[in-house]
Amino acid sequence: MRIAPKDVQSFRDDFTYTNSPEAIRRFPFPFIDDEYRYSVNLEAHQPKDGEGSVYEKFLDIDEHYLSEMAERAKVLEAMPSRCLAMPHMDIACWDLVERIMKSFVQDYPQYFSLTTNGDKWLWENKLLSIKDEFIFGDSTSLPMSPLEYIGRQVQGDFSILDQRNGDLFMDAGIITCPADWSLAFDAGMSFSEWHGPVPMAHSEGIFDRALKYLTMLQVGSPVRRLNWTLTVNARMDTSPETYSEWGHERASITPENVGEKIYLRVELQVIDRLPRSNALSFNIRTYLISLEDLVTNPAWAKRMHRTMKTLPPQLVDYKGLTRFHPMVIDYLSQYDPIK
Amino acid sequence: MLANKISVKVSAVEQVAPSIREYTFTAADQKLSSFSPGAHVVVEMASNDKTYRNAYSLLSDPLDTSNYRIAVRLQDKSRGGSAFMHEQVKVGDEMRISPPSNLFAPDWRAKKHLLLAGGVGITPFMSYLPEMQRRGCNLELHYMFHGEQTGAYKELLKKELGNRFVSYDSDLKQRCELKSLIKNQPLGTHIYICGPAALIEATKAIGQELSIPSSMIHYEEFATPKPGKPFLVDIQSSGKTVSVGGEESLLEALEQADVFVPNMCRGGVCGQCVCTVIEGDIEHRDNFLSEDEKVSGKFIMPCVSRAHTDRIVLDI
Amino acid sequence: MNIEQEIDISNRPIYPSVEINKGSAYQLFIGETLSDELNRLYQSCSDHDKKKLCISGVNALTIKEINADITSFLSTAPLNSTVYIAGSEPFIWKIAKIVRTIGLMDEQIKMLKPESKQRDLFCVHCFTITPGIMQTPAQCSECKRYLSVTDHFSKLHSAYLGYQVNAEVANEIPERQELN
Repeated sequence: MRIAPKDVQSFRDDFTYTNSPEAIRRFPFPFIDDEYRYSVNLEAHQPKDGEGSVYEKFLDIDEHYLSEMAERAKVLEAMPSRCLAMPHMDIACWDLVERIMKSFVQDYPQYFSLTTNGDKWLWENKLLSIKDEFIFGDSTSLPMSPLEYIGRQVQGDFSILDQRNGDLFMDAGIITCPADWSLAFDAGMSFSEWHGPVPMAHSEGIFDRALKYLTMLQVGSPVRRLNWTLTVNARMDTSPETYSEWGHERASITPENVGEKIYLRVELQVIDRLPRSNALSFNIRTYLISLEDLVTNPAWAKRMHRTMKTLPPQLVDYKGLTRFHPMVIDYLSQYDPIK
Repeated sequence: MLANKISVKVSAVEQVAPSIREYTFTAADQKLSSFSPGAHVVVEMASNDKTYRNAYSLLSDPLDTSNYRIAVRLQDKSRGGSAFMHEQVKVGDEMRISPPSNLFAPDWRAKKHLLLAGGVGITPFMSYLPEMQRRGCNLELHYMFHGEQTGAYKELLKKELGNRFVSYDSDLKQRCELKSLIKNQPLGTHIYICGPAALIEATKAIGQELSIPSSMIHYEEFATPKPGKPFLVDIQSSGKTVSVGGEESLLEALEQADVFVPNMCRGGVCGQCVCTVIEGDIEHRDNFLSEDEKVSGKFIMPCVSRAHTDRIVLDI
Repeated sequence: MNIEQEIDISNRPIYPSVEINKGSAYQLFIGETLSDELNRLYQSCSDHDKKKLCISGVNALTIKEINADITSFLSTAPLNSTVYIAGSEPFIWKIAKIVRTIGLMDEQIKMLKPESKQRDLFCVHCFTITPGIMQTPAQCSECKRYLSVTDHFSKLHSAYLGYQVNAEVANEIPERQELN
């Protein structure tokens, strides 16, 4: 039974964020082997794992919806530049508005409704008490840019990639919960350029193959993959922009608090072809679980111990885990018969 | 990929040129999605003994989702698909098509779009024009055809584009001087070609000669698979053997034998249908695999490529 | 945040050696100063249809003025034109952006190897770009943070990404090193 959005909890300051037992049960645990390595782990985004799973709907709305929308609003208030759309991406942004609205109405009819009369659209979002009339395709008929408008109503970051010359370019996005990358800096980069800093993947041809595959994606056949890192506290906004505010937390981990303060951060990335613009939308949906909640699942605890233990040093460094990685391994080792 | 096919109804059939017919499809069960300029659909043509599948450009306005329109030229040496369309398909028929996909989208950074159409290659440009007009793009359309056979829509285009439209009827000995046309284009012009292989090759050669970056020359050629010598295919997973006739592609033979291979363009460019080869000598006819991949002999694009040997074994 | 400064894991631009594009009908040479290499290339092509533009010291003309000059030179240029750019790395990419906006494709833009090791540094905290960076860490000219200078390069900003070097532990500031 899918849990309805609960009251707002915080992803900063006092960190009141919690996961219900159901949220823990449905968490998208990313490790499929006892060793983790980069791969082109794209698969068709078809429903999996039954009713209420994170993979059931095109976009997942869970108990944290209101919390994440409140957090997004805070980030955009402080830094409007976290939402960016180059002028030629206007059609793609409207494609995204349509895609999200129609899929929400289909998948969550209890929360959303859409009435269209030609290009006059009436949209209702009961969760956020939004009821707006606008002209589809006319950005002046919305209170803000179409990307910001819809972005403030859906969990997870979005980047929109323009497809040109067999390559993908990050020409639009709303990014308020990044795992340490900057939209303002990466704007306009090509697929291999924005993946520039990632170690150990370029020489294996992973990005070339992924790019070839993604440029051939068709409308109606979205794909997904999982990405992961570790975050200190349930902090959504781990952007480089605000690193000065949260960086010190990495140095605050002790063997006593590691289970409580270290969170496994998993991104469910959903990539979908947009029909009118031929662009690709890239939803980066972020799930957070503390280690102490994670270890309530013995299989996860054991597997995660092993993947952490065998993680190559370059990946430990690149993901920013250096200061507390040994403590994470020690903490998890108590759940693994093989130390 | 006809895995997620759309059912459509033929709502109109019109002869738009001596050898070209236009078909209008409306939605049968699910709504038609909008598409991007330059998109095509793969149409499934099921006759009693054979199923044909051909890719056709959508020529309608991408924002108009009430119908899709395609135009089919009756090929002189039809492999069956266009003959089927012309002889068998009528108003009221139900057909199945793939969702639109796009391998020929405009480059919107262009300062000017020079569109070169040969014969039925006019079709993708018909879907370009509404969006380009909406954006106020600088464009020019040069249309080459044989008045006796093709030349559909020329009056309509003349009316809409005025002096931005130039037609060349080869039956009246009108020739397009491609080299001087291209040479005199301003900086930032992108060139688009859709039509017979000869037109595309000629334009590419001129581009090379004039040192024009290949990223400014865009083309779509629906290469129909060419015939070749028959051969046998062993399917690793089932042990089944499929025979490929001289007039059909490996992909078509597999589909006839109910062996499904993901595919999209069916013309050797998109890479979707790639299969791993376990045994056999491959005759590569595609434009997707790299030289290394071709030389390795480990891969084949079944939509266009064939075998040198009498038998090959595929890991499918 | 410890992004490794390994050469093989960044998107640092690479500058292959530049030859004159013989098939080009119009050749435009743009230099921050008239470097030997740029001049050699200029002299090596025939007199017909070539143009030289020299901007001595990047402050001598504003980017707006440079933009206007280049736009006017290229306004009647043919489709197969080539532009050759020489100068510091930030200069080269700023000019490349201007000519790309006018309609040139990447193959028509030839960049000579940058004449100095100086980088522009993009502070990811306040978005200010600080020019003339030769060492890491380097101080942001606006917010004064000490920034680790990465090899992550943006063509849009013509600059490298910098992030606060001591955000995790305030007194952990590495020794200054020359950038390669």
